[in-house]
Amino acid sequence: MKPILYIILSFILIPIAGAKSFAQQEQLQHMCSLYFSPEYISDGQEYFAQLKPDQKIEFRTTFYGDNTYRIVACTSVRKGDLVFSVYDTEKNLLFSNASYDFSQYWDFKFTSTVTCIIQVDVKSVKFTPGYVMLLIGFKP
Amino acid sequence: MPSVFNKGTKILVVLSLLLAGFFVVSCGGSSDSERKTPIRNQVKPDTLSMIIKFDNSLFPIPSPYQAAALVKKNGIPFEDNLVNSQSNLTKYTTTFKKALNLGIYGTDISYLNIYERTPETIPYLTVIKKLSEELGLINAFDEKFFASLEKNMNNRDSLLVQMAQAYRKADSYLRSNDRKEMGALIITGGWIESLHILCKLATKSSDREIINRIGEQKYPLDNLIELLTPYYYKEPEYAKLIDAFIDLAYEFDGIIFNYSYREPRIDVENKLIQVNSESRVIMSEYHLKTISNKIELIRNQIIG
Repeated sequence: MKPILYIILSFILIPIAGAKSFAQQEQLQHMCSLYFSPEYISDGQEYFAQLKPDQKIEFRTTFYGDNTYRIVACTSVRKGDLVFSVYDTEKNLLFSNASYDFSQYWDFKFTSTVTCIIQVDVKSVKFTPGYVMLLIGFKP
Repeated sequence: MPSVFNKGTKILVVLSLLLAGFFVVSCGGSSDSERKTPIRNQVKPDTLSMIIKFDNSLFPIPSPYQAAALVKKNGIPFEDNLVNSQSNLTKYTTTFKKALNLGIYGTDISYLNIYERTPETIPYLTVIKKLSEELGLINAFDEKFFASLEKNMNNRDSLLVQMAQAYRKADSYLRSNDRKEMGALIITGGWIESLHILCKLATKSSDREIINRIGEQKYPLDNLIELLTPYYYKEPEYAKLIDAFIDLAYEFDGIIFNYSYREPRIDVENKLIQVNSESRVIMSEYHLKTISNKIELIRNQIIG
């Protein structure tokens, strides 16, 4: 009987864990969308990543000149502050929300086209597993 | 047989414990964040931590809508022969081509919509509906979405917002269902069509701003190559597309970029960062012509 019980347990736990992760993603989507006002058009993507110990998450994107963008960053980690920093490709820091109370969204007006590196991290006393999500939109 | 069964059982036990552990950790109590204190010191670039890319691997590329918006802003007249004909739909029998063309038609709709070509837009919505159904993306492009579009057909901004939301939903769905390569193809198709439209119009108008915008596609192209590379051996058609992109990237290497950092201005009250850094693109007519020809060849392979 015992092996059967273990098998049954596995079949129950696997979908539960999957559902939990999916629920966290949905919760993040909802949270991030709150800061994404309708005047901004999404770039059609959701940048989603799982946090890992001692790792930052980054990507590179190009922002066009004469355009205003909104960047929204959210995390499922509650006991931590989400830091998002924007660098140019020469690693000059253009902005970090860590200097401004870790506010989750900021608007960026570019006079010229600039390729940027966006780095995301969660500052907490000890590592807590979770997810981060970023949304980018532009003002038409 | 019994020994195999026991081994399998042990694996399942370990798996179950791991999952149970994960579940317990995830369900752990949580409270509101601790009181936050503003840090006024500038954060220095962190070079010690390991850097990972966003694990959905959907590298961002600039939105195709912006390309269309620039063309309109610069007073370039609309050209109906630039978009992919909706009658080509029947030619797309593979998932590869369907996904790429879903991206292409998405950009076409933006182009038509920005020029307020409502009657021409309607058949394209039908094409998007068909392709999204065939690709299993019906939850993103659902009946509610199309009904809302029809209702707001004459509202240019509303259509753009809804299209962007649907593509975002599709992106999210594909990521959750481990179909990232399809998301990559949709993005790729959208980018190809934007570049095609920009090249055609730049060649005709010699508009400097549009030519610059073409030159600025160097990094987005690098991102696309990186995005598609994991699928190089999936099917021969992936390899062919990536090889064509690599060949195109060589042409972009000939474009000169000048960049100078300027300190940004931060408007705390409005939460607005004015990025003052300046960039300049120097692109010769030779490069415009070569890139234009190469992107047309790539596009023809996809829409044909």
